[in-house]
Amino acid sequence: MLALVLVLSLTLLAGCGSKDDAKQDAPAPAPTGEEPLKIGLVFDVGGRGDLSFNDMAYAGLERAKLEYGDKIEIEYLEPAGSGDNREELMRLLAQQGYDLIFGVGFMFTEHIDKLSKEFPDVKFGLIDGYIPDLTADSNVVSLLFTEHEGSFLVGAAAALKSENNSIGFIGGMQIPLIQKFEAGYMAGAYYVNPDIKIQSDYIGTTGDAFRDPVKGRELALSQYQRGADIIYHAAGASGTGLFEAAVQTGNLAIGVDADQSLTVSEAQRSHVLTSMMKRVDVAVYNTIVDLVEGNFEGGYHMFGLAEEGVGYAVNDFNREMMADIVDELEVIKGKIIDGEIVVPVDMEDLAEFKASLGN
Amino acid sequence: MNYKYKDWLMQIAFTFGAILFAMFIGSLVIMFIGKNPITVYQSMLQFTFGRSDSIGAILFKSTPLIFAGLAVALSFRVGLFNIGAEGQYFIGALAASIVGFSLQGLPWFIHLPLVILAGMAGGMLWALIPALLKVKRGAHEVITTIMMNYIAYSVVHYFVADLFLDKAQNLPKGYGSPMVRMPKILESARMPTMHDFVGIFGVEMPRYIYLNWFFVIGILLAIAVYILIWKTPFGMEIRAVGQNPHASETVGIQSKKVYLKTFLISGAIAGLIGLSDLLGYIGYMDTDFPRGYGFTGIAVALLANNNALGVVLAALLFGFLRRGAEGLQAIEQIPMDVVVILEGVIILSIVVASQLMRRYFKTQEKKREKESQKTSASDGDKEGLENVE
Amino acid sequence: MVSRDLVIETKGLRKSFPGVLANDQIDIDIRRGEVHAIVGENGAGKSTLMKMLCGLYQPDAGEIFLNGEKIELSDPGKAIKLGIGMVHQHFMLIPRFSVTENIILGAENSNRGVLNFKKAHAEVEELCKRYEFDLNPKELVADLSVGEQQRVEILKVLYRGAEVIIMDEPTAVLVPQEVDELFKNLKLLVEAGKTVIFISHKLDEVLEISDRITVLRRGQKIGTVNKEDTNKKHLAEMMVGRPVLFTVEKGEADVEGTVLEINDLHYSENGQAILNGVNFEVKAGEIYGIAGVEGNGQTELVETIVGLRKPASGSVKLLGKDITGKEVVDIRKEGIGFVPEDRHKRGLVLPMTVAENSILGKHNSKDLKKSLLLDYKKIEALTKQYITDYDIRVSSPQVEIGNLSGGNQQKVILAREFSGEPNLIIAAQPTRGLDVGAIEFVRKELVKARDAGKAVLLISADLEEVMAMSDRIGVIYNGRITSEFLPEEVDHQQLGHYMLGSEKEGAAK
Repeated sequence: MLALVLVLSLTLLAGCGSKDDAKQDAPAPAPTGEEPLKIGLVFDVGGRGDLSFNDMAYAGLERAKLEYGDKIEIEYLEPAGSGDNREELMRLLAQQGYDLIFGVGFMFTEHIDKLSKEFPDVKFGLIDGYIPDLTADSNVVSLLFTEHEGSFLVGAAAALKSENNSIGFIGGMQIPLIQKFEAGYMAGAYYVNPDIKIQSDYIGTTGDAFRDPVKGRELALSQYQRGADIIYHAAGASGTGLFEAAVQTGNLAIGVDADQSLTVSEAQRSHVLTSMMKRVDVAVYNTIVDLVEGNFEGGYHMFGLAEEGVGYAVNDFNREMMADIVDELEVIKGKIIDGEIVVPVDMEDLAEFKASLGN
Repeated sequence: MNYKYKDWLMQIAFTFGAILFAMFIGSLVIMFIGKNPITVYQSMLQFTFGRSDSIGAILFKSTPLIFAGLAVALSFRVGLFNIGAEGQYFIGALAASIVGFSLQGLPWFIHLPLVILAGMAGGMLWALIPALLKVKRGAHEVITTIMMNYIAYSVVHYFVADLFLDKAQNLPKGYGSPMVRMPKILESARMPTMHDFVGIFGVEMPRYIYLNWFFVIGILLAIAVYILIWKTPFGMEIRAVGQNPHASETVGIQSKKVYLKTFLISGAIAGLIGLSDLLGYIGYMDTDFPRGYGFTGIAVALLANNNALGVVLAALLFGFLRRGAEGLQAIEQIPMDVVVILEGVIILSIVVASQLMRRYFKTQEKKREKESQKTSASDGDKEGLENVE
Repeated sequence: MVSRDLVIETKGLRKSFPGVLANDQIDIDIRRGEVHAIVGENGAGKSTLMKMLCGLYQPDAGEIFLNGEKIELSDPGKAIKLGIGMVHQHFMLIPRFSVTENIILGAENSNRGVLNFKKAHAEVEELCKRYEFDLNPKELVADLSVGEQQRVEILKVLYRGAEVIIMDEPTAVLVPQEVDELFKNLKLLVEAGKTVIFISHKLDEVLEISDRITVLRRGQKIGTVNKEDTNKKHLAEMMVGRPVLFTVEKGEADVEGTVLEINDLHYSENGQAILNGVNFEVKAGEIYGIAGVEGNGQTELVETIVGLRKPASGSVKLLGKDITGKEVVDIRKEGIGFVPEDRHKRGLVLPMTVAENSILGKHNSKDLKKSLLLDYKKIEALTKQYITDYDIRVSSPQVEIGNLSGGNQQKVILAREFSGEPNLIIAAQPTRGLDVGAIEFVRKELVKARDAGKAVLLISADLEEVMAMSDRIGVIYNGRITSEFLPEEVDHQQLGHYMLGSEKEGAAK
């Protein structure tokens, strides 16, 4: 006990003693003008390397850095495992004079709401989250995607390609965001084939659900075993387990967020039918470009099918596989953009949607 | 008695040893990632003690850990390993949050205590199951409490993402994602921050520091637990059963009852862990509710050697390390993983040093006792040396 | 037979541990072919000395000579190579291995990695035959009696070629018949030219077996004497440093009504019957002693009486009141003082202070509380009273009791258990592990309690103690009191006989 008192008091003393020396290193607030713009980004739990959501955001940041070079300075942070210091990390960036800070994920919604009022001169980019009553003059831009529409297309693709008339879905956590993926996917599949069998599983009930490849693999194996021959995942880093299971059982998988055909191993490539692209990179990149060019505008930026904000991936590796269905998918895509098909966003809507197909 | 003076020197030596050792190992890690250890340390200290907001942040961050440390320490005292503080505080926060948003129209002095009681009841309920399994069936509490943690996560998820999901978030249909959270807790159940209080002393704490009265409650609770353990008959039973259940039973203490009661108190305290964040900061329960305090509480309790007052200090140390970690990340651009390693090294060195110190003073006491027995055994009969062989 | 040449000689051996000088300036000489006893109280430094001789400890100063040559014993392996082997008090045997396997373990002669069991068996058999060890090399150690296990330990060192055999308190675990057997073996060993160093504090045995005796006290050598030149009283005085009384002074028992009444008590554990119908009673003003080889149900009997175990059937009555199967706390309220056999496991909470241990079990009493809190002033005053009354050697009531010697720990238990004016005192192995001074004290206190009209139930593995203390003796065998005696009716040998299962004729209870 006494040891602790001492340790603490000594560290305190040491802290006081070194304060003066350390002051010189204290960061000066970034002046405007010639100085490069400082862009910060705080990841969702899981951080870089999930080959999916977070990595897409990072890709946007990288691309901006590549193209604007010395005009911008970038920094990215990962919250603690429990995720409880998101707000603090963002605030520290804001205090250091960052000009634009991204929060990757809807979990930043409240934090950015608070911080944007605390730091009116700092711009914030919020991915997936919705803060009410933003205007073009706001210092927050809410970057929103229609994941259900993209999922509808890959659902249709899965139904068209399934030989067993049986497909699957694996979600990370059962939350509205992921249910949007699920509902869209199922609707797309039913749209093509109302009698298709669809299995659906979720990995877990905590943030860890998005970084548990082992569980992802087990669920996938079990779905394949029960007859599914194509599985779509919306489970972040847990999805890597799906690709392993697809190779093991010789079935197909559908990636999410990024074009995952490009990031999986060579052996897995031929097992990735397509990916539901959610262009977080584009959203991040465009926002930075707007800022650099002086066109930053607050409010809501919608990324739907029409804006190419979501969609299905066709690349050198899956072109052949997709060749026979691309035309059909493009027709469906057009119908969604025209409003002819209204894609359900949750399970309730899905039930209605399915009922309407029956007629 | 000049040994007191010598003891002091030894304590200082041990403490410095621990700090130097931790800094040395830490330096290696920092150099490994290509930074200069001296500037990194300077910046960490400057960041944590050189800024007015950091002190408040440290106290705020240590608040849940005080409760966590106390809950775990109390169970350790009776010889049970409550690994379940994690699940207990999740259920506690869930219960508190339901009472917090659902009971409308109450004045704060009724609503807030009710919410706190709900938190304690939730924690206690979650501790009751493993406690009963332990006492009635002999199921090992480590296993059962770990299982209860998983169940707690899932129960909370079901309430937050399904049953009580706040539907009042008006998103444009199809775009983005709502927060996965329960309705916001009413103002009447929020714990006030301490800004006004510290303002009395002329300290201006930035608004974004969420230091609230749970910190004070934590310290008072630590004192209460200290008194319970060391000054009450029941505390004596807790210690006796914890250190030797057989001897306790032999003198008529009903160890099972002591296990059960202590575990329930531990659970009730655990139920408070999440409330500082819930009622003083976030204001709602969501899927992203801070996790891991229960596990950190184990480290806090061990570091404090299960001493209730030591828990406060250990919690402050953790608060300091966590705040410092944020500074290292945001200012020194040190990756989170390295920060975690540094934190681990520091804690480990302090644990080792304090263990060594404890052992040293134990031997000292033993030695002194032997001396005193030797000198008092003047009539030729001496039993004092019995333990030598 | 005793030749004059020295096998082992030490000069100025010294060993200290933090805070304690365990051995100081020890010069001893051991002659070839003798049984040399090292005696002393607990803590006198006997074990330290022996551990230096067998390489477990290294001396801080001084020299050891073997056959006139100076040797350095860096580890036990080296000692055994030089022919010095130690038989420890606590056996180090593997129950699931046979006698031979245990003996050759660690000294295996293998032929390209394959053990030659046949040869090993033959060697062990040969050793048994030579020293008349009654053992079957193929039997599992788990099936052996304690005495037989000890023989295996001795064979282990003989097999490794020991010339000098150090035995640490070998008789502590044996019944009288087994002791005789051991002594017979030792004599044969000595005849064959081996040397035996025998550590003990039981003076009768020492005088029976040894040729010469070295006495240690407080880490120093007091002297070496020939058996012929000394007697028990003299040795005891050398050991303790003052004259010691061996008999327990006690007057005629003034026996009154029955306090404890046990009727057909049965208890079983894991389907195994441990108490098979125990019957006896203890009256006010008498000491009822229970003698028996350990493991015949003594522990379970006592723990069933005080409520720690629940009997399968039968009854326990205290002053006519049925207390069978009640909670410990309720039974204690009826007035039972209990000195448990294992004071570290059952008697004390070692990390707690002397004061806290003194009031354990009474901590809820109103006298020791100030509103809801414990009144530490009163507790301290009470403890100080105990310290004076029971002559507990401790610097303050706030010392952790684990730091005290066994004797002082036991005194704390006596103080706690005797002070509540109990009707019945149960003392299980109350003097085990204590030294002469403390033993004397404990015995006096028990007699004092009996003279004060309390009923005393004494359970002891020390036959001498049971004989000296008891007003009546019950022999427990296989979970039953098989015979009852008055102490003057029997002698050691007879009692030993009954302890091994014989029953007094016509006295089947």
